[in-house]
Amino acid sequence: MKALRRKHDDALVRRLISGAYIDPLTNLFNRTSFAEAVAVGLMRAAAAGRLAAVLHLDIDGFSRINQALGTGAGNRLLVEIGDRLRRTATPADLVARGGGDEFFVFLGDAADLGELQRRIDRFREALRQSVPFDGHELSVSVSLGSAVFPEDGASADGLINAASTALDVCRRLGAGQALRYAASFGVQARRALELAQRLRRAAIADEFALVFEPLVDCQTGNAVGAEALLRWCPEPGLSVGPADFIPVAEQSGLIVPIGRWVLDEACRWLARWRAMGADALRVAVNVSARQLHGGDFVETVIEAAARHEVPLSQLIIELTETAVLEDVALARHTMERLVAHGAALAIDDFGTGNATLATLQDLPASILKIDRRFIAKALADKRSRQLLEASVAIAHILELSTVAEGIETPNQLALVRHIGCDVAQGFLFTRSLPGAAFERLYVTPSPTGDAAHHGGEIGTHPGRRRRGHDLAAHAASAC
Amino acid sequence: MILQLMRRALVSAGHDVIAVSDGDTALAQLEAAPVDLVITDIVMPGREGIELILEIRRRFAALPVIAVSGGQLPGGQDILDMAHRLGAIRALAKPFRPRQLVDMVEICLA
Repeated sequence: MKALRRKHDDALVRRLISGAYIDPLTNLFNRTSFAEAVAVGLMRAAAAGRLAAVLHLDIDGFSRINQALGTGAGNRLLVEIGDRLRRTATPADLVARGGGDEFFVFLGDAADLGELQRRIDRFREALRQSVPFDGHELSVSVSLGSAVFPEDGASADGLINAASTALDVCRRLGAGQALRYAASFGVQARRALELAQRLRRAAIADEFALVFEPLVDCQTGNAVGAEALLRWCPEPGLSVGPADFIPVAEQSGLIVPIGRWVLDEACRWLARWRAMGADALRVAVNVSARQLHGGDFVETVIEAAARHEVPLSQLIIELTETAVLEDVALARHTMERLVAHGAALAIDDFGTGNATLATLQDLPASILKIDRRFIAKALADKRSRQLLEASVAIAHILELSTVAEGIETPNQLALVRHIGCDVAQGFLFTRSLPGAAFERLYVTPSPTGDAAHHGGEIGTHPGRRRRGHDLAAHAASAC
Repeated sequence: MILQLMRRALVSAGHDVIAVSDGDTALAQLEAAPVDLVITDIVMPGREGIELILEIRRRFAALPVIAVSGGQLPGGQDILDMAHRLGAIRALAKPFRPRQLVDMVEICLA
């Protein structure tokens, strides 16, 4: 009887300890026990003359995953992330859940910064693999802030706070970033905030403009359309490219109104060029993941086209691999609705992310845009070239037309022509131009009903494509 | 019972031992008179061993602690691994032989 009671008391004490120090969902250390363990880990690191680090991670867009798939699914994802971190940890490391979608890792017993970096890379790599989820693959993006002992903080709290500050800066920069703490972060964080405030004003004050980069038929040299690119001109003579402000716009949610403006402005130019007789010219518009998954994206596109009386068949929606991979099922659903209305889908920056052609096959895409780095590499070494050739060949089998991005030299053009890319764009042809300049150079009336004669056709592989002639069949003008 | 066995083994090896039966008494004892080493179970009534280890670290930072316990928490966490990560310099899994405890104490005091 006494033995039985003792056993019961034992179980109770174990439950109490677990409740106090262990996160019940993931069975990892919680925030409290983690801070205590870091304090111990730092004392041991100091005594042994070793380096240590704290990583603070969070899952990008987790609330959206929760909303879309439900809390149960969100919890399963948290458990999976926790397991991956635990499997990647060495015996000297400690993984903890910080609450919500945040995790901490303590890296102990490192010889030097290089070793710490390699270990951090392993954690990032483990999280980069997509998660099988109810029959489809869920791609997870994680932001990571790190702080190194003793350089970035000498106490447990100091080090954890430094890692959290680094994470905070990551979040402002956009999804999927990893940064080590730096004393200058206070300044950087302030700059990001200022940029967001200026962007907000810009959205009201009409400081945005579109420029157009011609899409050129590789065989005929004729322009068959244009990619619309966003520029921000906060003051006269100063033009800021998207790479510098889109991450901040995405983070602050401004991307939605800005994206709406881009679609409207692209349709406005299209309407103008249609009125000039170029009624087959196509304009490609870049769309971010946040816009795509924003709920009323399809309606926004349809309304913009209707407002300017432009057929959707003149619009190409460009999505990056990363945007698609964030939620393939949702991307497919959204794009199928737009394609049903006549718009074309292009996959942008192919070759930079983890997208496989098999994933892309599930999407209603008709155009594959090959990233400039992929092409630059193909000129430099044989293996990359073979890989590029194979990708183009497979794209054609999948009835995708191919666009080579970032063509800057005649050699690059010769290469992409040789391997069968349909369309090219880049500085070799012309730098991106304001609408009026593009119009002077490239917009001429297309003969009614026979546009292809005027502009040339991409069809270097007759009969191969059903959908693959999107950029070519209605060419607007010659270069 | 185990407490008495441990005490006897350590006294036989020439150590002075103060045996107490719970965490609160242990802390009061530490405040009253300094010791060189603490040996504690983790699963015990009142102030459990993890809390005792954390408290000892806060109040007597340099005082070494050996955790003596065994098994897992309900979520599968190894209780001795946890004690080690939270400050115990050594951990000894039950059941153990008296000689193992004496050896461990001598390593810690060396």
